[in-house]
Amino acid sequence: MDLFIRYILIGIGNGAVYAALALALVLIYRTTGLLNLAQGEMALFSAYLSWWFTTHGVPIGLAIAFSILLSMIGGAVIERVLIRPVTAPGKSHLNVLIVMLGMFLAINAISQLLFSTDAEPMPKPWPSVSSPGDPVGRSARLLDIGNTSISWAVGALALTLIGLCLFLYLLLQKTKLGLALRAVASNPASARMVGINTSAMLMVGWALAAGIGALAGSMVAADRGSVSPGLMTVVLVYAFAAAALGGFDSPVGAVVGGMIVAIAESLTIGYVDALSTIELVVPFALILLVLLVRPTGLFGRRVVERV
Amino acid sequence: MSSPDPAAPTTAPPTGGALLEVAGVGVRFGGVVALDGLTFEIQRGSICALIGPNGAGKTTLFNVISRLYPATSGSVTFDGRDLLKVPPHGIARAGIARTFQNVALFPGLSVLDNVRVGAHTEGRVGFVRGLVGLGWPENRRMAAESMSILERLDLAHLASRPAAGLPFGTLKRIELARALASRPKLLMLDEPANGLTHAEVDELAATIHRLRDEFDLTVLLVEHHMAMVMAISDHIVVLDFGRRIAEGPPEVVRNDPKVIEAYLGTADDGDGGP
Repeated sequence: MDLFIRYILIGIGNGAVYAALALALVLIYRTTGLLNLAQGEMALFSAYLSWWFTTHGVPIGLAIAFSILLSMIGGAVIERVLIRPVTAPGKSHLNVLIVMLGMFLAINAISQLLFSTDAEPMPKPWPSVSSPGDPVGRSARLLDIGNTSISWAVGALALTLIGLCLFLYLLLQKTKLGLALRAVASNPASARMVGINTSAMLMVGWALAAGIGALAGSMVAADRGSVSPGLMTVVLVYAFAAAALGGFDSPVGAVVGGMIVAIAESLTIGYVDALSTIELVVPFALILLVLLVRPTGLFGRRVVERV
Repeated sequence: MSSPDPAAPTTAPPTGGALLEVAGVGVRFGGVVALDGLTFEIQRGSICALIGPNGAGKTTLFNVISRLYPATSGSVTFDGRDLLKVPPHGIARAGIARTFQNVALFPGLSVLDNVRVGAHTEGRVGFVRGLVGLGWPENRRMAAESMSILERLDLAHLASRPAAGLPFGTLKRIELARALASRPKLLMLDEPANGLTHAEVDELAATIHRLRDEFDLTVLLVEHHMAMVMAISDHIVVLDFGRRIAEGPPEVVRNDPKVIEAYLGTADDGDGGP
């Protein structure tokens, strides 16, 4: 039983990261109808950026905040400079797909060029075992439940996700900007008619996604203890599985999907020895299952068009 | 109704009594001429109807005025401004709102949010202020105003329902509410009576009159429902094949032989009459 709870907790920690990245995917999908293949590498760049700040004496929390801000600007610029020219109405979807593949490779390469080709140690924004003066790791525990304990890592990741969800809820539901973003997602032509600057909203959508990705990337790096060029590739696959499971147009679905995918992952590789080295089977199997059984995902809306 | 006193407004209309001037507007789609040198104007505070057989170019003109289609030639002046220089998302701010023939709401948003979106251009809450939440009082005011518009159109009880799945007539009223929320000077209605029941059409005619007075509107409508057009319009412009074939008050247009011909066809069209 203890083992089971431990697997669940590992799942929740990972799930928070998958969910955050899935949220970034969903935000871009909802406003532009595109699946951002480069989302993971954008997050990798941001994670390296956080690391780079910490090497210049910036405390990790502040470093992540700087990275989020810069990433948001970067996201908006990417939309304006790289994405918009190839998504004009009437252009093939393949164009933007190629551009995103290019971004996937280029951003990874640029990260290695600018920052490092090696795994670099990433400090944690929460108490951990390695903190000096606490060799037994007591301070790494947030809460003890019987024989198992919730580590600060899991707690911090889960709290980050909760905070992120709250922020997005308030932004999307309670502000005028959020209303405009939802309107553009719902019906771009009408949105333009009522005076919403739809192209500005697309930039905002990308900026938000890049910022969320920066948070997710930095948290993964902190959780793993290091940032390396291959950090986000696998995480992105899980995030895709999470978004597919929840439905690509549903933020709630992204969060629930992220949790389901991560818990399924940790349980299967925990209990099924044969899967422990090929754990990527889990998200792929989930994606396949969702596409076969319920293509709109758990929370997705079926699109009905009037013709 | 008492005709509006043309000298009353303190802000002198820049171009006499006309709010909208369409001058020589032409639109071509490839080889197809959708509008051919169309010229007319709409007086402030009037209700102007645009009628004509299907394909005459009525909706095309709407789309030119709302900047969805580019005009191939001619000019459109609204409130003294060159409208064709305004970007599509600037139309609402310029003071023009419209409804669509097939209703273009935001299906995923609640009825209230649909109307609040219409008020989008009203307040100015920037990105950062909106993010930090400084837009609160503004948001609250917008929501209250949108709610009062819903009440006036008898939609208040639906405010929190998603727009998707409501009956067509209701959706048309919601779209009208959204258009009003931007506080337009010119309200353009594309076939507002289409798909409504007989009783609803009578109600609509009264509603348009009432809203024109309450919101100080100028109304331009495209409509096929002749009884309603004749009942509410101050001025009618008749189009056929992209050209203006007649213009004037209802009683004049009604008896114009060219209009009758456009609608009923000439005798040698072989109408197959008795």
